[in-house]
Amino acid sequence: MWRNRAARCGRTLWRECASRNPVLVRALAVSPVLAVTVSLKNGVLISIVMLLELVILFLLRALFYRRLPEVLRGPVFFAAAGAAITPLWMAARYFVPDVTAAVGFYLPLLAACAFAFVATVPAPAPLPVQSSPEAEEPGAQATAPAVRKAAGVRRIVHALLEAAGSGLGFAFAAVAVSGIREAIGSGTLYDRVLPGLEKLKFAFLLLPPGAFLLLGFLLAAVQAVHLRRKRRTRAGEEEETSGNDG
Amino acid sequence: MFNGFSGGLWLDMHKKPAVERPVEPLPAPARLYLPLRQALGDPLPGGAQPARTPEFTVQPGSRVRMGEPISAGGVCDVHSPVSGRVTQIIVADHPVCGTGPVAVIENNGKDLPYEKPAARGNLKKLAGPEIFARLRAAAVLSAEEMTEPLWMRAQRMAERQIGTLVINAVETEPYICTGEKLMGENPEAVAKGLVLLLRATGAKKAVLAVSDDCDHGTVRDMVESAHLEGVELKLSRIRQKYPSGYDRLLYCLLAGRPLPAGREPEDAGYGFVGPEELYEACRALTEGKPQISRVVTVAGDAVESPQNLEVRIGTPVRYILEACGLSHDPERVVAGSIMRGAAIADTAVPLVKPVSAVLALASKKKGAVHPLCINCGKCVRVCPQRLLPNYIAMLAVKADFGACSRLHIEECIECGSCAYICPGRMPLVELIKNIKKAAQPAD
Amino acid sequence: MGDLLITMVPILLLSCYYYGARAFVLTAVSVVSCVGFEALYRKMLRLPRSVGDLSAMATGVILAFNLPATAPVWFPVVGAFFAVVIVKQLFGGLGRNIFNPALAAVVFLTVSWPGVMSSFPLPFNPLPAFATPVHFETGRTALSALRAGSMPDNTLLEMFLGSRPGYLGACAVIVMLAAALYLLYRRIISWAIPAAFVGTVAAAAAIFPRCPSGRLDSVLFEVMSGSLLFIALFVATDPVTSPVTTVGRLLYGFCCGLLTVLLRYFGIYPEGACFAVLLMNPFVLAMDRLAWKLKVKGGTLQYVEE
Repeated sequence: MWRNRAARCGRTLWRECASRNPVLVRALAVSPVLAVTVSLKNGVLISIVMLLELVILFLLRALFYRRLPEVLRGPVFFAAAGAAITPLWMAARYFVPDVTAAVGFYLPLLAACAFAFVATVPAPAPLPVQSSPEAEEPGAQATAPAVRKAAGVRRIVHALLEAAGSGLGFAFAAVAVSGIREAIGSGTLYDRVLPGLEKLKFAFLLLPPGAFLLLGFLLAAVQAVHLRRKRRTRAGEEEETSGNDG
Repeated sequence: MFNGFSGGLWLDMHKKPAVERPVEPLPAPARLYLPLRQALGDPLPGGAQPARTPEFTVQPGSRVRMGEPISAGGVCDVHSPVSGRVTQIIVADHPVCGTGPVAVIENNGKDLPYEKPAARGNLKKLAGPEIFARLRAAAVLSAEEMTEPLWMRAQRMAERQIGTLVINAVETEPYICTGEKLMGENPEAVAKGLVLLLRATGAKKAVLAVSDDCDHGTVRDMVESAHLEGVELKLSRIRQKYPSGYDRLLYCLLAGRPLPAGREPEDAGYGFVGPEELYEACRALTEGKPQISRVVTVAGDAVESPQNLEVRIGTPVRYILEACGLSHDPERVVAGSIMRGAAIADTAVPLVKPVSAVLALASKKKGAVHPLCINCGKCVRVCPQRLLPNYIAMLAVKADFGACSRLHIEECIECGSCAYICPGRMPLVELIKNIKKAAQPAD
Repeated sequence: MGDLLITMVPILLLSCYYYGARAFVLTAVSVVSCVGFEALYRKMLRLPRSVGDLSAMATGVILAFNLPATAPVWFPVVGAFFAVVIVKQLFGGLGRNIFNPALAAVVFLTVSWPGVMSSFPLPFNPLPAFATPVHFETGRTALSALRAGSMPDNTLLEMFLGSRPGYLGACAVIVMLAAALYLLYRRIISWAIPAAFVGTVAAAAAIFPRCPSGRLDSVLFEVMSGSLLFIALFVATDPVTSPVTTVGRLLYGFCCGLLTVLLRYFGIYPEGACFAVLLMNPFVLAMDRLAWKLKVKGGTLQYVEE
């Protein structure tokens, strides 16, 4: 049972990170990835902050989504995103002031991006109702609250996994883009000079059009991999069905 | 607007040597094929007469004589061009007329005429309705593409009370010179036809519109013949710019103002007839003979001796081409004009009334295998209706008829100037025709 | 396309006269890499071959003519890749690209290596044919001088003959005009775009002169400096990326001229024409639509009463 659960967790994580990658597949939060990823340090900073922000937001969502009336859900979570980013921002300013200054206002903008991630995830499943037909069976009365609690825990774990997955997906995109941009654009990586690339200094990549182009190519690569996998699974399925017929 | 129309093409005419040789009759072949439907207008709109579909009145095996009607019920009936026997009635596809029943007639070579009650009368006493009836019985139709027969158009002209009847002898299509030759060789017949049609339609003025490279002698003879018949024929020389021969544009050139969309030249008081139609009308009204042949120009750079021939309707195209000789293997054979006519894949198809030329072309433009629009704008420059063919084609490929009609695709006269000049060899006319057909409600 | 290449030959000869064999080397490298990238791209994606339409050659030539003579030899290769693969082929190939590929590549190179693209050697200086020149005399272009508000270093005659520091294609005005007239005669380019483009720049220069020696001088210097004439005559008139209707073309030329003037007067770079045309490229469809609407409303269609 635990192996199943671990597999399910792994699948959720992988799904959020790869096949539903927020930046490279769903094209969300493109703005901070394009704007400030001129150096790897910036990329790492926004990845960490985004991950923490997402964890907070997804948790809040798992806990309070069903309790809020529908009209209030949007504003409440938006305000929650803004509220969550503030301590993160202050912490960043305390620990790495120069990098935070370089990132500028795109750090608090991550709140809006996180909200976009959270808003586009399907709603959490409802918990089983207190009075269910099974509850009327003798002996089941004792398990109904336990079932609810287990479902609640499952929901929280699921939310954390989604947050981790989205955050890791964002981190992958941000780190990739910023790494390439810094390496080819300025010839350094994490402020360490790369001997071969120092001469190249392809300044175009440090400018916005270069970032768009790079992201375009990354998106194309991801799509190509996607298509190939789909074709392979479809070919596999056809083989299976033809095998079944034969 | 004072110039007539903008755009258009200046084409190489290639009229010589066909225009210098006289019109010769071509003997009828051994077998003729007569499609049932050769004109537009079936069944009759408006319900003035009960709408009947045309059908053949002969069966396989019946004997026919030259000039005998073999179909009834349509707007343009078919008459047997030879005497002989109907061997079969098949359904076949014709590039000009479409798919329909075709009567196959074996020629017995004797050309026995059909004796029917003499439909002659004193020409001077013939009035409008009688003229229309006789034209209908003779099934006169001469044009460059499928159109309504002469009696329908003349009736409409009479209804709209046109003031001017124009002999449209402006031939701006390359190779074609049937009108010029007919007027040159039979000006009296054309003039007689003109007189009768003037009386039938009630027009007061007559204009002869010719292209400016028309032979002066021909024009002079024509005007004189008309004068002898009592008609003052005003001459109008039109510059040899394609497509000046098209009715709507010729109206703009003659009247000096544009024709609003949705209106016909008849509404503005101008009626257009071709010289071949007048010639046939004269024959029909004076001698009572139906239209069983027509003059076609056989030309093209693959033809050895280009000429104008008087050919029986139903003659296979192959026979016509062999009569003039083929010097090279033709790359394309076209029935009609090279700009608007239909390309023939199988030269066994017969000649029908709307076809004015049979062209065998050896040289084909170096075509690009992949048509490509490079947005050069040449098509916009040559469009006589001042449309934007490149955008229409772009939208037609996406099958967006709503956007096409916002670009006024209905006003396209399908002259082919844009496709001719396109450096990217885009099949513009084909695209426009396809989307127009697709946009019509399914019959 | 063939006619366009024919008219580029005299310009190439003149640039060789000014800058030596290096001009020819740069042009050759540019053309070869453009054609090579296009062929390679089509082959790798198994698309039908399109090199035969000579458009890649034209892109190569125009790209080379917008580089300074001291550009390194690998410069046009990078530019060719950007122009042919990214701007032209990825958008769908000939006829479907929105932006002019050669011009986009020029802007890409200007933005990526601004130092290289803004140092212009004086003409008639010996330059190595293949190696990257390191020590060469640079001249101040007329545009930089006008930007600073001072008189340009070259006289008007030198500007007219083209013996001034500039791009490879910035040669004698008379040669460019002759080439343009030949293309006009062959109906390959339209008169509306260059007329509106150059006319707008000239009018702006007349109304707001930058040259201290008067309006006429200002007009002549502005029109003949930079790559304005070359771009207005040969690049902006590229059929794929320009409007089709005459009214649309006039509007396009006017907007390009206006943008050029604004960029020259108030922008960062002294030269504005290349950016201006690139900025107006996406609006071509809208301009044609506007021209059509004007035709319909104004009643100038063939079948509408006035």
